[in-house]
Amino acid sequence: MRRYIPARYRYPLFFIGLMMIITTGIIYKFIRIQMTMVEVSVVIGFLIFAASFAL
Amino acid sequence: MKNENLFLQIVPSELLEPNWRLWSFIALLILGMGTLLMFPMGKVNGYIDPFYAPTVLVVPIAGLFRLTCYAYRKDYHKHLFRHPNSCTLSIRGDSTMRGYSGETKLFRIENLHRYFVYAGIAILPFFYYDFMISLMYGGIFSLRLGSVLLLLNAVLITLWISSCHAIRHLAGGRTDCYGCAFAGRQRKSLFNKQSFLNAHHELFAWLSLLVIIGIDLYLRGLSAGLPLDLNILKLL
Repeated sequence: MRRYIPARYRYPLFFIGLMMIITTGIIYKFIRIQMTMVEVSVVIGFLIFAASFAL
Repeated sequence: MKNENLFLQIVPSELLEPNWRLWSFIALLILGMGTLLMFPMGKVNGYIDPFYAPTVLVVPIAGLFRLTCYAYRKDYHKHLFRHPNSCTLSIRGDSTMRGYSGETKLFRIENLHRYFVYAGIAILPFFYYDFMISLMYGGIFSLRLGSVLLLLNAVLITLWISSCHAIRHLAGGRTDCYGCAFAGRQRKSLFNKQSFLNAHHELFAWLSLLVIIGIDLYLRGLSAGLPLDLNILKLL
């Protein structure tokens, strides 16, 4: 299968994706940011996490 | 001096390097586990979060099963420790000072995968049970998007566990001579079928991780009031 993301970028993307999801959850719990911002941030984090090993 | 030698005999050199990848990964694990404990999920619309099935306390055991899995092992040696970068390279790309220390010293824990697999098998029925419970939400049979995702999660984890290398050993890999063994023909057939699954073990491992995290986020979205619960089939 053809890989589009070079190996050296895979872990940084994996880390950024999961960290975005976790920190968004914590910020939402304690600071009460808008739900739309949470949705966008979590979806982007999840897509980055998925891309880190799928692409 | 003697104690220092003992320390170096136990701890692999990979864990002593100033490696931001390793320490950021450990921070991610601690923060992820802490978040699961800090913000527990109850039952949402009849769905039970897979991280809490049967209880969040089994997450470390399931986590050890994942950490010692051959598929993930390949990835964390390659992407966290940057060694071995590929099967044909015996040295690191940026250093020739040390070799590969997988399955030695503290990494001997990787060999316990064959025992962690039993813990994985033990919690497997709970995923199917949660799927069944979700079908009967509100006293009527209804197939909803969440139920489909829970079933997908259960099937992917079943495929991931049944394609495991430890299961391959149990299925027939430990047999030297099928002609001499009891029910040798059947065992060889089982071994061949398991080998087919085993060839896709890495795919199942990553897909199951993707789906389990996706369902957790989906259920947290539902509990926050997002209209994500799609009804597919409803029988009175």
